[in-house]
Amino acid sequence: MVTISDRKKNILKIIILGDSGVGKTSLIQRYVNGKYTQQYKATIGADFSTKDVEVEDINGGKATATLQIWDTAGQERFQSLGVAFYRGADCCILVYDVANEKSFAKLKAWRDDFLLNSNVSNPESFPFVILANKMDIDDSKKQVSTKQANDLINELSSGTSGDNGDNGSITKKTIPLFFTSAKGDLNVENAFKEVARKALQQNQYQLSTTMFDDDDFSNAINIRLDGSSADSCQC
Amino acid sequence: MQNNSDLIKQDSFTIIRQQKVLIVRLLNEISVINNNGSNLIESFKHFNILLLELKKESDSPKEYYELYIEVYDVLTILLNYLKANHLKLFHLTDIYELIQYSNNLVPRLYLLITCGVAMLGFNTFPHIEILKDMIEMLNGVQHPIKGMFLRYYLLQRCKFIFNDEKKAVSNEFKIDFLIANFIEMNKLWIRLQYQGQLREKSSKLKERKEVELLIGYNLVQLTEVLDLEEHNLSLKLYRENTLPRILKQVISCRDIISQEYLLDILFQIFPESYHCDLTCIDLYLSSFLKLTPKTNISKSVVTLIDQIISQADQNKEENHKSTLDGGILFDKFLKFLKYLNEERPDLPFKDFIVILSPLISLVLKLIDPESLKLRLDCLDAVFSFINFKKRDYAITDEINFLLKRVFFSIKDFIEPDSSLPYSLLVECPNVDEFLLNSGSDFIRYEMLDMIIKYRIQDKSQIPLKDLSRLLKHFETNSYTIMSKSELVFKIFYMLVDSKVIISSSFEQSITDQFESLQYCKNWVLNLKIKYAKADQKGKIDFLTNGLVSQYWRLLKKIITLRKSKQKKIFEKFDKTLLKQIFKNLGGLIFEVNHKKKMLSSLVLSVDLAIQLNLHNVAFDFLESILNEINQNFDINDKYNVLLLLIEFLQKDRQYFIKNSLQDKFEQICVKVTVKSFEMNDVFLKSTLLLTCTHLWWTSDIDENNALKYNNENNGKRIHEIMNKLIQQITSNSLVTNYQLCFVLIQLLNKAIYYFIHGEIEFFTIQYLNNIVKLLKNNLKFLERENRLYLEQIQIVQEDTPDKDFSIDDLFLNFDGEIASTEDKEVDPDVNLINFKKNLLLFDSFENIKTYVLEQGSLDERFNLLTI
Repeated sequence: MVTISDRKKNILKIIILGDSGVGKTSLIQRYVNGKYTQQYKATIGADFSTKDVEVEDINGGKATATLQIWDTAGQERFQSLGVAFYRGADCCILVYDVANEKSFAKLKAWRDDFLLNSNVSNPESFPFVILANKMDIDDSKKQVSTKQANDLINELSSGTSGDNGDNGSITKKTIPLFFTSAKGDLNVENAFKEVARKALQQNQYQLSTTMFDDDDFSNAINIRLDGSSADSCQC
Repeated sequence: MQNNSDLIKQDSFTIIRQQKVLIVRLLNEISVINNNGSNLIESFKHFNILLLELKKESDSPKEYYELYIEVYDVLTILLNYLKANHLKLFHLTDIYELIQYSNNLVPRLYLLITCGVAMLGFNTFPHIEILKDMIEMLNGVQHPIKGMFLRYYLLQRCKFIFNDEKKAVSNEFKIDFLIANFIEMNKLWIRLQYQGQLREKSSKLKERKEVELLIGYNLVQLTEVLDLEEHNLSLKLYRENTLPRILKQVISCRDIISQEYLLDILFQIFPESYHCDLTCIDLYLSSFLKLTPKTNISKSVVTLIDQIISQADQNKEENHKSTLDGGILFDKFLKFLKYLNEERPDLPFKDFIVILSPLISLVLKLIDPESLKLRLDCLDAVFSFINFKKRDYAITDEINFLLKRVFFSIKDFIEPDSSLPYSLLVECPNVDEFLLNSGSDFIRYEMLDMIIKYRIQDKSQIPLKDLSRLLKHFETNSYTIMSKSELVFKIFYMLVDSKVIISSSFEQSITDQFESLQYCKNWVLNLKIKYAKADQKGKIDFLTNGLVSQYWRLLKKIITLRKSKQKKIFEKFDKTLLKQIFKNLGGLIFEVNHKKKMLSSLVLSVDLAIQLNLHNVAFDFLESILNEINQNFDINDKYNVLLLLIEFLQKDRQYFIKNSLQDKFEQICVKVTVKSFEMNDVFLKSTLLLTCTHLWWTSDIDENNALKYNNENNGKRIHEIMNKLIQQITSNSLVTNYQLCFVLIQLLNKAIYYFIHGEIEFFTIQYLNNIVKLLKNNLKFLERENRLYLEQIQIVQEDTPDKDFSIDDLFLNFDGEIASTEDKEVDPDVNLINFKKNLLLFDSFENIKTYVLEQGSLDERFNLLTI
């Protein structure tokens, strides 16, 4: 017999969100291609990059997975087709620019927007990771202190924690925060490693909860039994 | 309706998910159960069902996109399967051909692209042919939404080809491919506007905006391709290959939404450095001229300028040497404006105006402040354009406001002490003209105010040659002078510079500044003739006084020179020039209508003349002051002017004596004393006269802090004045007892002063005793008055509350009235006030008594006083 993990490689869907200009595209570029460019290009629409990684799974073993990292437009006008791609995400990265207080203040709104549109089944335990980007800049230009960041994390963490997850769900933990620099290649690898770990946990959790009550699955069998679907095929 | 369409959408989702489950089962189990590929063929049935969902009409592109995302995931399973099992279970060429037999166009194309992309994963297949085949197939779909998503699907799947660094496919081919796809997609997008039922225009617009990013995705991929090259080569590709073709499509599509969107994202997604290339700028500008009439041109122009400025900022931040030549760039944009003006007479003025502020910032950011001439030339050209355009349009308040903002944008890019705003006004004829014709006076003065503020910070003086141009703005009507005199005042302030630099050119600089002052003097005198009637609030006086103080500032600079170590320069200084300055100053002061102000100014000018050793000037001024003090002059003003004059004469007494000018000085002093005697008010007269006595007395103190007798002191004259004063007040029956006593007490004080200071000839014990006697006699009457008052009060005491008889914190003023040290409210009862006044006088007399007693122990003479 084949087991689930042998059969197909896990695709882990990651969404990266944050204000325009905080460095979302640069972080992905750094992580996926090891490149950085100073030139700013606005991202329009949403598109993903992929990277194969080895992830530590929930039992401490190793699993291979393909990260599907969705880069998004920070400017709302470039997201005219909506955010249907949030669905099925396994982890969400929230990015702010340490030299831009406003981008920090908007994190909560981005989180709420994600939860509202992604339709995740476990909003209280869904994994987020926060990246404080542009750490390479001069200290004098930084507008967001570590304390402010920690305060926000406490707020966001307590805001979503409900039960302690006894029936197999992931227990609510503090949202991880990484101080990164796409330009200076600081902490980017570590951050995505954590993202991948969290995403795999979420993915396995989803699998375990949907395996036995999958409507689509049972419906599909019914349809197949009465043969109606085969008739509509015209190839 | 909404619920219905929701249901349909949910159905579609359900179908896609059901089929996905079946597909996953077929394609995952195949390796175990079936190895001849028949499961794949089986799965195509399900793919067909699934993909038919993308063939249906959707409510909105947004909903179509939701389905597309679901379908994309399932097709990924197929793609991975095809790649994994090629040659193991089947040959991809066979599969590619097999799919061709599928009936439905849209599902067939999705499957073909998926298969074609799988083939692109192997080097054994001819990549270019496959890509060409796929893009040609897509021409068959002319339905806008379906066609656009198919082309989007093609791009998403082929991304790995576009950003493949190994360049298995040449970059030129990739660019051709992407541009071909872009052009077709853009056509589909525009067709969306005209397709289907006649729906509301706004909902069409909404749909079109929703899918715009699919078109943009082509350009995003183009940037990826260009990024693979070194900067110079990628720029060359952009300039020569990519951009001209994109712009050609932008122009030829003649669609407003498309043009505005494409020009917007063009600047957003390609690097700023591309947009700063001169050839690219030419391409942009010439295409802007060809846009469809209602497309917003100015927005694109502004974005282009912003990109250039942003690149310049970045160069600066990274300390790169900037290759951007502000002068050349400015010329390009100015030329463009002129062409635009010719080609598009339909454009509203506003569309031109919005470009001007960014253009000004381009000039100020990219042209070094040291190239002031070039900056001024460019800015002058901007305002020349405005002046020219203004003739063709009705100028509304809104336009005036916008133009004002253009002018003020200068402020955002210059240093706080920049000389630029001022230079603009005096060196750029078009700016000058712009200001003169700037609609309302109000707006004009705001702008002038800014210019003048910068000039004040700039701290240099205004030269004569600029004055006419500056002052012209204030001559237009009487409103100007009356409401904006402060601004003119500020200009006057800048006629004389604040620094005193003593050098060989000192005299020349004084001459220059004096000429400017003279110019302004004549200007003010003309104003006075022209607007005297309109000047209700004395604004011209205000200006005249302002100018007077500038003359003083100039003179004080010369005084500083005289007192400095370089006295020799002063000695060589042209004395006729000095006299001319005073002559001018005197003439100006006489133009002041407010008499007290005028006379005070004269007195202060005398002081300056003395500091410059110009005694003839000083005497001329003094004579004219005395001539001006005549009967028809407010008594208080007269008192103040005389007091100021007396104090001044006292201060400079030693100067006149030392310079053997005693006779002339004496004459002036006598005249002042006579004027003081002419005062009608007893109190004012006595104060003035007693102060006058000091004109004949100077008390010096020697090294041992002892009083030194001065030979020039004239006790006889002082004695005369005092006696005459006593005589006048005692013989005048209209002088009250109170007035008499008040004056006598002052007089006694003064007499004691001279007695102590060694005047023994006239201020004898006997003389003092006589005054005391006279005073005591008269005080008796006041005592009686107070007694009477108290008795009177006691009679009516029953119905009156307790009165406040206290005189704590009260004192008598020089005018004989009660004043309080701490704003105490004075009881309005006249009798009570008089009672208190008397008490205060008794108090003063008691103080003298105490003083005399105390002095007795030091000076035996005091014991002889019968006080």
